[in-house]
Amino acid sequence: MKKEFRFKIDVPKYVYPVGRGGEKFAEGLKKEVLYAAYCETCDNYMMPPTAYCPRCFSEIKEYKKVTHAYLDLYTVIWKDFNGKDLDEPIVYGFIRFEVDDRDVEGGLIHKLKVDDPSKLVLGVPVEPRFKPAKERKGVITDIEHFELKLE
Amino acid sequence: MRMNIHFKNRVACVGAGMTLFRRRLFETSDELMWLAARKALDEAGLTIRDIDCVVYGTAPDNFDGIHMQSEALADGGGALNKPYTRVYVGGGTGVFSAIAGWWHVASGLCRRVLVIAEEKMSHVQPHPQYVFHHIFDPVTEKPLGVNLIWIFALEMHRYMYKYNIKKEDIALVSVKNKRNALDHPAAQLGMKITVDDVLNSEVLVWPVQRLDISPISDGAVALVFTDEENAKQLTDEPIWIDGVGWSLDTMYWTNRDLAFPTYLYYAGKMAYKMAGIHNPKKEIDFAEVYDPFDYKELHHMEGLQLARKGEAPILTREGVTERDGDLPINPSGGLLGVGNPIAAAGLMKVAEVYWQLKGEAGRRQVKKDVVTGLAQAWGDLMQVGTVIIMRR
Amino acid sequence: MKPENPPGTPYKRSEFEDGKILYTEDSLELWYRWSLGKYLGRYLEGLKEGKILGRYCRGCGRIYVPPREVCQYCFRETDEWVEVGDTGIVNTAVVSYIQADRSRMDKPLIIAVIELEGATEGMGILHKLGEVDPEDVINRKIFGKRVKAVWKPPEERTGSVNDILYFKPVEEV
Repeated sequence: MKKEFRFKIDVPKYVYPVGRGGEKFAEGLKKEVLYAAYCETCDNYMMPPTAYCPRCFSEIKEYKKVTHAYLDLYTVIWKDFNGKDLDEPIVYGFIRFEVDDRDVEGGLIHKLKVDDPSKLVLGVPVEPRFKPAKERKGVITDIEHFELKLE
Repeated sequence: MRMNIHFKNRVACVGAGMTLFRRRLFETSDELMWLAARKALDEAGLTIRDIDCVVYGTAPDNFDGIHMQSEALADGGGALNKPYTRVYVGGGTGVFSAIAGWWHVASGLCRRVLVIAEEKMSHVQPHPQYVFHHIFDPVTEKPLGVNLIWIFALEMHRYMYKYNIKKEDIALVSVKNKRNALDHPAAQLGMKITVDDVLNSEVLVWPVQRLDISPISDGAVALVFTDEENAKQLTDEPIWIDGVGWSLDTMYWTNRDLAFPTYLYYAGKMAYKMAGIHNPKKEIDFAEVYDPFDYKELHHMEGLQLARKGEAPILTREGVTERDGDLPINPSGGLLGVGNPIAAAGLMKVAEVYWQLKGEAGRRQVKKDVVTGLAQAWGDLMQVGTVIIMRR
Repeated sequence: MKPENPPGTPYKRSEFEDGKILYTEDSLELWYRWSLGKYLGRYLEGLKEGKILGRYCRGCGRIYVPPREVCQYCFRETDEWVEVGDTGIVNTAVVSYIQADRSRMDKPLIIAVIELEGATEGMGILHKLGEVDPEDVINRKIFGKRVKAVWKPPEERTGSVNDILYFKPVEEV
């Protein structure tokens, strides 16, 4: 007697319009700039930039360019989704930002290009490497990866 | 008209807001939630910091396309660091999220609750109907290549057979609701059509034709509920929630009587008992009943005892359910006219009852003086009935 | 008039296809190995043998199709297997011109709820009707008529609801 019945739940394609916050982020990416949202009422900066402040619910009217980026956390990945060893390890980092001297709440998760992951130090400055202008679409993957900032 | 159950706090609705309902909206899911919530809070005269609990209603994660949708969209509901609940009963979610909001306040647990219902169906390509394919039993139904519209067509045809109802009478509902929706600022499909337009539209699954069905939509609606003390501070005319009811039937829908929505009869009874209503047809002044298909308005009217079995089409034909009739049904334009973002549609009906009772429905305002209104939603595999009764 | 100035930015499919709308995309495919349990497993086996099986509850006397472990009214385990035969009465029927993904079909399909005669009254199952003129569905002449299952030849059956090709009308007995 059959014990199992195989079937799938599938949706061929999802499209996710980026929305108002995403549109602002895209504007920055085109200029090779990362925007943070600024809430006047809370005096708070946020990344990724949203259209509204989740705490006071006011509309975000100002977006400020980030002036400094640093590596807050990272992880080194050795196997792919199916458990097979990767030829080269991939490093993903959680990048935090500052606008002038102010901390930005949140950050971005992205790939980190680094020669020797074992030499990474938390807090080290990083910068985004953008794809060529004509390849950019206005989404997070317009950034190829982050890399260590050479002073 | 006394209430029949004991609970800690009487609950009032003090504000409502909604976004446009359209086939495709550019804002992300959480942005839609925020937009609707802001409108409701502004109308209530409150800020998000005044809210102590948030209830979020949305239908399958598969529409917006974000797994663990409620957690992912908590920001959009202003729910950070607050007690936050997501409820889901398919299409019944809209009214059920209002019911959940009600019990948060009635229990004394919360004093000011924000209720939000949101849906984005435009994310699914090529057509959201395919997501519905996955609600059926994978062993006994899916292999037949089921399309969602089959089950509604089967129910509609049984209803027509049992009471000998003609398509012309059912089409009158679509004509009425789409015309009513012309006066709704957020409506997607307000239009003037005739019975012939409906009968000549594309046949999808006989007897269901294109103009018998409500559209696919994106949209969000929000309401603010408070306890009596807060309500009296915020407004001179709070709208009280006097009855709630809900009931679920078997998923084996082929084993049920398709001509009568038994689950709705029980949900209605529960709400009527709580509100102290003995003769719904006389004591309910107007109702927003769930109309994703035109025949469902009739089906649901009978389930709610607003009409005898088989009588609903006659009342429609006689104009009783028009805005200037004795029992206005769906003065907003319903799902057929305003739109059907699955969860938000039900809450839109609750908002409409609220605005009608406050006299703020503008050109949609029903002619007669109204004191008691009812909003109802329906969902899952034609299983759940959710009912809410509000009074001035 | 409420709602006042409802917010939202609608866009058309043409704007989307022209690339004016910024978006990201993804797809979903999840495979499941659904546990059949004792009852559905035996049901499918029965279909392979050319039989429709149901479960009988001694508490209320109901015969359930599809068979299930729990009687929904008594809330106790059902008691016996019953072979319900493969004839039924058409409770309701429709003519479909669209498929699961909403695309149109060349030839319409007739779908029905068939109340199986060997089971409790009103115990219907979803299946197709064949050898029926769509007109008889549209004018509802087929409602209340007796139908009988047309099975795939035994060697083609796999233990699925599709082992029955469709139900066809038979003469009143």
